[in-house]
Amino acid sequence: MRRREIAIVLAAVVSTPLPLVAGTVTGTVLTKPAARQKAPPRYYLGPYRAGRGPSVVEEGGPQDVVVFVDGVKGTFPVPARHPQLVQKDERFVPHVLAVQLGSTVEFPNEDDFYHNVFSVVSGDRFDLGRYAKGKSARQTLTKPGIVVVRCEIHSGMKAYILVVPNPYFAVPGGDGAFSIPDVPAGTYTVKAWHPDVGYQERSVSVPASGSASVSFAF
Amino acid sequence: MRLRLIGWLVVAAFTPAGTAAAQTAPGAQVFFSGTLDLAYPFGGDGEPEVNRLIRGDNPFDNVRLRLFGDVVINSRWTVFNQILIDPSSRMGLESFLRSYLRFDVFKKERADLTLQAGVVPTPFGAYSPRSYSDRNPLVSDPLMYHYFTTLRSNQLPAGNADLLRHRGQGQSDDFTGFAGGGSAVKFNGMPMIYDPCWDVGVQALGSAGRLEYVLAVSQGTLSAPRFKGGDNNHGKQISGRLAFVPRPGIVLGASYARGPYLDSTLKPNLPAGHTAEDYNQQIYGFDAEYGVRHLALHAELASNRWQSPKITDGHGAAEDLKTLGWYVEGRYTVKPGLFAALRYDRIDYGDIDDGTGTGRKVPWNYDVHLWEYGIGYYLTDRIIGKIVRQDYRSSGEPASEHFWAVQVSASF
Repeated sequence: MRRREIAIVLAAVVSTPLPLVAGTVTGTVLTKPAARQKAPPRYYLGPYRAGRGPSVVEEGGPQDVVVFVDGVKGTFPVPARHPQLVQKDERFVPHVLAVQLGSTVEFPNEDDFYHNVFSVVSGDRFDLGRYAKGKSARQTLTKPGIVVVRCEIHSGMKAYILVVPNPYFAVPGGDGAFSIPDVPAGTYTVKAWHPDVGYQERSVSVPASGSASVSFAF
Repeated sequence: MRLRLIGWLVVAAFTPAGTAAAQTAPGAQVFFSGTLDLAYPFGGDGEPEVNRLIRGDNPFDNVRLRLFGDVVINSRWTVFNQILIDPSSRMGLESFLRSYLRFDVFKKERADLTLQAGVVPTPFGAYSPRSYSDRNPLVSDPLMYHYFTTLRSNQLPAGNADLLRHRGQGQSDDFTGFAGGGSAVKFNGMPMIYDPCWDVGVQALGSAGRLEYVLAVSQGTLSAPRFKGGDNNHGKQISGRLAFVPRPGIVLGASYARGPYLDSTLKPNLPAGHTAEDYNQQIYGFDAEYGVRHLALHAELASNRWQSPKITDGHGAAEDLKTLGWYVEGRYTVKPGLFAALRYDRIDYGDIDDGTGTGRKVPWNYDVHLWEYGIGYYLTDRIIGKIVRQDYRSSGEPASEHFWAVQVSASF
């Protein structure tokens, strides 16, 4: 019994990177948010098929950007907590979700009507079928890159999941500021991704302690 | 007019894809989007002629471009514009322009009310929202929404025998028509419901609890909509639909429409003391939708009758011309991005006296039924490729036709 416990502890220690020296990558992201039609409302479909939310929403702000540190070596355990992409008011919330490779994403439906989440563009192809309010489905993302998520019933619904290779990523706050802590010291490429613009890259030297700053403008 | 339209289209075509907004006036935003369909029918022993629409276009045409320009004035007022460009059409672009104004009167937790005016969507049945190529799992529209009968709004059959003599000819665009008076222009017959062509009118629509409703008053009728605005008689069509949504994935609807369909120009040919407003199209419809997991089912039925001045029951009493149209349609996602779809679709014609004095009853037009089935595949999240087969059967000639078609539909 004791041997097994020791083995489990050892395995956890080996698989979890514990850098003795690590810094923080901080910075800001500037964006130009744009108004978008939530869905082309060619027809009135009624609240039990299309909801009552606003028809125009603002997207492309700093909270729709993902910043991550690329090239950090090591193996990284998959977080036990499942990130969520919620279907609410005929939208996906958040519009952009960042997850670590191997994560299982939950897709709860909070609308009074069906959605049918699917993705066919790149990465993992999946179709979660129709399910009602209060129900959820999940999908494990096993390929890095951009996953474009849509609803087969509501053609205007669209969201992005950026699957990144390690836990060193952040989504900026509403003011554009972000912070990625515990990055092992070294020189890396820090990438920022915006759904309308694509990637931007900066080379950053992360100190053994303290922080390195980088900024992006989309 | 055409130049202005072309200018509008050029602006739309070169506006960044998607639904990004362009600012027009303080607070107002314009959103452009569209669909581009490329289709190619092949094989079989027939042509997709049965799918042709009144303006000469056809969902199986090689190129069809649909553009949307929605002007969101504020949170309550929106102007919707859309136009279809199909080089195979025989009518000008203005014939394909639809514009209407929407005003959201109120939106509450348990009820809402919206008003619409202009060239407004068909307020009958449940097919219209699925008529766009990015929503339609197949290529064609159901027969009851487009298939031409032999009856025309600007021409009268002289009697039962005259009507029966022309059975099966309404689909042809050089259908000269009947001997009972009216326009001599060669043209198609009328469909039961002409969904691809909306009508000028006003609508009130919304919900109350789990009920959804639409009530409309329009210039034309479902079979003869007046999309250019002018009226062809002094009557109006009253139409509407009431739907019940007992739980997500299930919708049960009932529709009704009634209005005079004949042109006032036919007055000299009508029985003494009658006007065009005395002859109505009346139609009842029922629709059902069911969705679960990867399966979506739709079914509709419409029972239609036209009053025609010179059609009798053989004993001198007026007899209505009846049609019954219905379809069932299923779509199943086989695997991510790949779906299969099938629609069985038919129109049956009511019997009338054959006009020979024998008392024999015969259908006033040839019954038609149609299978369409195929598979679709998402090439990207915005581009769907479909391959379908259509089998058409009729109690007239030709008795059967079939063909294959591929369609690539891109939305932007």
